Parts: sequence; structure tokens; C-alpha cells
Amino acid sequence: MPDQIDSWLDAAMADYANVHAPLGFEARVITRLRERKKSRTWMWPAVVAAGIAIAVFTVIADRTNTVDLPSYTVRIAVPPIQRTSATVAAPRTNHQVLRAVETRGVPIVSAPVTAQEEAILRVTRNARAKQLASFATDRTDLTQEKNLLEIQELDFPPVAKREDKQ
Amino acid sequence: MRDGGNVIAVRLWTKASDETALESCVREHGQIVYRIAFSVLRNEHDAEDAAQETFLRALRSGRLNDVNDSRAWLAKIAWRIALDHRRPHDVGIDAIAEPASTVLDAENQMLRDERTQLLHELIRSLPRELQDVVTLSTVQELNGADVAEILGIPESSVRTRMHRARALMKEKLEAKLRKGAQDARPNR
Repeated sequence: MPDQIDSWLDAAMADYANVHAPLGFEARVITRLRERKKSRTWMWPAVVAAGIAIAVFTVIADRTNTVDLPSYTVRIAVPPIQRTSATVAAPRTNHQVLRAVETRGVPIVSAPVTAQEEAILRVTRNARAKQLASFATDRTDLTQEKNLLEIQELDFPPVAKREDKQ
Repeated sequence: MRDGGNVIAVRLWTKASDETALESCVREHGQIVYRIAFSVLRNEHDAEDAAQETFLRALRSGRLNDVNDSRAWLAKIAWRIALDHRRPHDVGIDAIAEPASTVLDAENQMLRDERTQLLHELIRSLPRELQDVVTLSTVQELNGADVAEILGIPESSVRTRMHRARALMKEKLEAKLRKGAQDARPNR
């Protein structure tokens, strides 16, 4: 009985394994693969052409549909040039001459500058004028401080002389 | 697994789409790919579709240049694709279709069909790990080492599993024969 079963199994396995591909199997597979390859080779140029067409369409549509943006005029309030008056002491002369100095802003360059640039220039100019004015109001003369170490001769101040003459 | 066969042909196929190389590759490995697919699916049309998909996937992968043993590689792909195509419930006795065979008389053919169907039932009743080994062992071109490589198990495991599978099938067959004999006695 076991031998019969063994032989039955062997025969059945042999039959089970006796498989052959149907006639024309290879030819069919090759044909299908070629068809697939052809479709794939045609596919890529089509995809590229479609991409280019979409890009061109997008550019054209973008150009035709450009909307004229409204123009805005903005007026910027620019501070005017400040004029500062101050008295300046002449340091190199013994006579303290009080002079009225009027600082003016640097002449505006005719170069095309924007409103913002012009505003910045004006602000800096005013700052410079204020700086000069502060120098003028400070009457300390360093030359006189240097003379403190020396024995000074009595001398009438020139202002008094002028008053006498007058 | 032995040398990969027409490796140069496969390389030419992928590189320069050489039609001759393509044909030689399919003709050289077509049979084993088909048999592996048929061993799982047991249906001509499904096996042919699976074989075609195997070659197509190999072509698409672009790895054919790196493959030394193209036969083993294609066999693995065919095995996986066939398993993917296998539907768990439709491979019953009715779905089994024997491929075209030589001219036989009707009685012999009927006996063979019956035997094949019975064996198929026995194989399908085995645990999955044993089932895979038996299925691949029915492919004529594959030896124990090939089966081991496709399944990713040691060759010794293939032998052990094959032995166990055969023992189980014998056991079930004996039980079936005994049951058949018992059913036949009361009628007499």
C-alpha cells in the first residue's frame, strides 16, 4: 500500500510538472513587449510637447491678462531748511569779536534725487547747522586757558578801548 | 543556481533595445518563467499574463545591467508576480486547467486530469511554507538550490520541507483511500 501511494504520488507529481507553454507564447510576449515599448517611446515626445504647449499658453495668457495697476501719487511732507543764528567767537585774535553767523544749508544738488533722499539730506544739513550753532554758543577759548599758566601782564581789554574811543 | 545564461543578450536588450536580444532573452527564459507562473496559478491565460508582466517588470526596472544571474532573477520576479496574481478562493478543482498536451485518448486524459486535480487538492491543503516548496519543485528546471534561492531559505530547509510535505500528502491520501474503501463496502 505505501509503495503504491509513493508511486501514485510520483506519477501525479510528474504529470503536475509536465507543463509546456502554449504555442506562440514567446512570440506573443515579444509582440506585446514591443507594443509597450513603442507606446512608451511615443509617450515621451507627447508629454514634452504637451508641457511646452502648456508653458506657451501660460505665457500668452499672462501677457494678455496683464491688468494696468492704478498709479498712486504720494506726497511726503519734507521739513523745510532750518536757519539758525548764533554768535561765534573768533579764537585766534585777542579781541573777542562777536559775529553773527548765519548758517545756511548746503545748496541742493541738481541731481535727480527722490523725495526720501532729499528729506534725508535736509535732516542731515539741519543737524550740521545745529552742531555749528552749539560751537558758537560755547565761548570757552582754549588759547586763554593756556595763558593761565603764564604770568600775564595787565592789559585793558580791547572792548574797553573801543568804548573809550567812542 | 547555474550561470545566468544569456546575460549579454539581456544587457543589450535594455541598453540598445536590440530586437534580437529581446527575442533571445524571452525565448531562453520564457519557458521557466511560464512554468513558475503556471505552477502557482494553474491556468494558461493567467500564467501567460504573469510571464509577460515578469518580462515587462524586468525591462522597467533597469537593473538588468547589474544582474549576473538573469535566470534566477527572472524566476524570483515570476514567483512574486504569480503569488500576487493568485486569488485565494478561485483556484479550486473547477478552475484547474491542464495545459495543452500531446494526443491522448479520452480515458487516459480523464484519469490524468483526475489525478492532477487530486494532487492539487493535496498540495493546497498543505501549510503555506510546505506548499511553496512543493509548488516550485514541480517546475522542471528548478532544483533544490534554485528553490532555496527563490524562497530565500537554506537548501537543507527545502529538503526537509519537501520530505514533510510528501509525508503529509501520503498521510492524507491514505486517509482518503481508506475513506473511499469504507464508503464502497456497504454498497456491496
